[in-house]
Amino acid sequence: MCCHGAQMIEVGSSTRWTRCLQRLSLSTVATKTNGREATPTLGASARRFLCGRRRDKEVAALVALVLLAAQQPTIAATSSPQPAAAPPSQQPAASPPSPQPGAAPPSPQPNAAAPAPPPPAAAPSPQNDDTTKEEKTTVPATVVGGEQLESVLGIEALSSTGDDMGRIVDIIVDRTGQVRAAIIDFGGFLGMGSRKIAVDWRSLHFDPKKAGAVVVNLTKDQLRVAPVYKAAEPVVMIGGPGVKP
Amino acid sequence: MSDFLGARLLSRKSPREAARPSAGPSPGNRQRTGSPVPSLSSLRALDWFVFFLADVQTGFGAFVSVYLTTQKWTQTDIGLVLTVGAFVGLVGQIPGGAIVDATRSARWVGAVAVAAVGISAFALAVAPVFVVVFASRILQAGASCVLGPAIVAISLGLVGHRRISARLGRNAAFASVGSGLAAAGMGACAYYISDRAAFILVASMTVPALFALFHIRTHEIDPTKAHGGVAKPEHRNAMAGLLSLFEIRPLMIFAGCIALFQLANAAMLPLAASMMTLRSSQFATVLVATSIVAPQLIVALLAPWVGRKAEQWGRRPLLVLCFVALAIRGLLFAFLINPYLLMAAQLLDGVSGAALAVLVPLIIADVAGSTGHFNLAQGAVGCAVGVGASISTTLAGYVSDRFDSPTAFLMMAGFGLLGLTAAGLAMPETRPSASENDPSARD
Repeated sequence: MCCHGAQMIEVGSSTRWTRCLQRLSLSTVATKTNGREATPTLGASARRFLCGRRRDKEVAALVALVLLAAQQPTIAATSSPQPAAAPPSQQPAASPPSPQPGAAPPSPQPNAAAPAPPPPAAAPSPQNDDTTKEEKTTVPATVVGGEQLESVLGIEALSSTGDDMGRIVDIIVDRTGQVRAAIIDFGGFLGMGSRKIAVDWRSLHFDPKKAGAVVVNLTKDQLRVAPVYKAAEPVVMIGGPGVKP
Repeated sequence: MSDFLGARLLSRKSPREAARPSAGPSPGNRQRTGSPVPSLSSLRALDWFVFFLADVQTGFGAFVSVYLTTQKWTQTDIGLVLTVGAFVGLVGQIPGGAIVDATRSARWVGAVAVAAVGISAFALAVAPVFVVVFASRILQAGASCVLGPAIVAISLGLVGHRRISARLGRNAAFASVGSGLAAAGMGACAYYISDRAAFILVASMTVPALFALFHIRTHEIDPTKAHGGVAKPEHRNAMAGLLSLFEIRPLMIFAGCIALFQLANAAMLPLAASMMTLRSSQFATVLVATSIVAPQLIVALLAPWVGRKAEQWGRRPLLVLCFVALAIRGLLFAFLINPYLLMAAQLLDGVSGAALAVLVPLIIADVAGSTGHFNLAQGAVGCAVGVGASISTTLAGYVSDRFDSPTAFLMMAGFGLLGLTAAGLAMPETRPSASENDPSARD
């Protein structure tokens, strides 16, 4: 097998090699300690790319990714989502119209009490109300105030005692659409030495009073011994409903 | 001044020819026909230029991925952007060297490159959207390909080949202090303020860097010396020049040794840092931070010493020392469990780093200095280094996933031992005055 078990990401298509790319770039810091400037890496990403079995799919996925990502206006959530003819959940999460990871549930959920349920629902934009169109088709939509919703990607994860546990970098969803785990980039200094760990979604608590952070029901010790998340292999999701720190 | 140039061109044939005692400048009239002594303020300005530049370059390492994560980028996009930057930085080494070779004023090339790095850092800090970040990574990677040879060219232009060894030691010391302080400063900034503030901090270091660069007095940089002492290279075409470099055996052997070094070394720090995070709960971040910053301080202490000893003892003993430190470090990482001991073993990285920071430009100057393609040679070796580093991280990642981390460390120690053998057996001594006693034959 050409590709080592690169951490695959659910969001943004099944390209193994893209995670390798990030790891390759770590050598820039490593080589800096020898006094030379950041020597770059290309690594065998190209080599891996060419010898991967699912090459064609990955090429197409990459091209689609780059094109779609380049169209993405800004990362800030204020950009108007592209008027989606299909419900947003059917996009293969290659380019979410908002910065949320592609964890959209199958249908938009009524979202009055925002934070507690699984990820903030990708509410279709009010433009889908279609009142301006001739054919008068109506699409159900939900409008929620912007300050009640938050994007979960990149927010800080804190322990119950307030220690910094890293940031959420991905959300793992099973085939029925239920959110199972969040991937947290744990530890490290300036990006060096961090490990990606899958934490069971039920161990995460969103505090309505604390925006921009999520509380993890685990201690640092419990988290650090977790195995690293690799998408191709059985995922070990740390925590669960009954875990006490 | 034409007298001066003429005398220098005569002694510039090749290291071996120059080493033969000739009716060249004797110590008595060396001051008349030798190089002008650069002023102290130019030397100090070069020190600070190297310092601030290292500050700026520190921000573009693994920290970019942390910063982009906080800006809500997906891992896919981050990986793509980083890889493109790495690719440009690898492929651009040779053209970068050729550019510095082709221009007469290494200072202006350096200034343009520093400005490009500053612009890319500010762009990254202010507008982290995909297109902007993509462009900024490419720009910064390209600029750093030029800056490496440019700094060595400016140093050579200022002090000449005789004193370049000590000068490179000093450069390495200032660069590592700069990057260590920048790493510490960025960490503190990211902790207390925000990640974006850390980026703006390193971006603002380009201003003092440019300031210091323009304090180096132009007339003190001798363009002939900066290009290795030939007024015109024998091959006008960069491609022909590159091919001619392949014929220089010591250069090829050295490039192979350094590629082996990076093959062993590049993945050691990330893997060890990951081990530290795994094995220590309370102080993992502090340990990783120390293992990044402390070797820089060791480089700062050792590099001037290495610079002096490279003139006294020759280059080979220090190259061997470098590989020995690497192999020991790999073995220690494979067998140690305690994260504190891991951090102590990481300090050996400072030893190898100090040795290499001085020896790489020095040996290249020794063997390729008189071809007129000195900077191209630096670019070519930089390319080999980059290839070695890339393969290293990929291979180590594969082995540590497939088997486990100690196996990966053992494999890297094995590469280190291979490099040690190559350096010990195949690498010749390149110090120019090794074969003769006249210290004034080469300047």
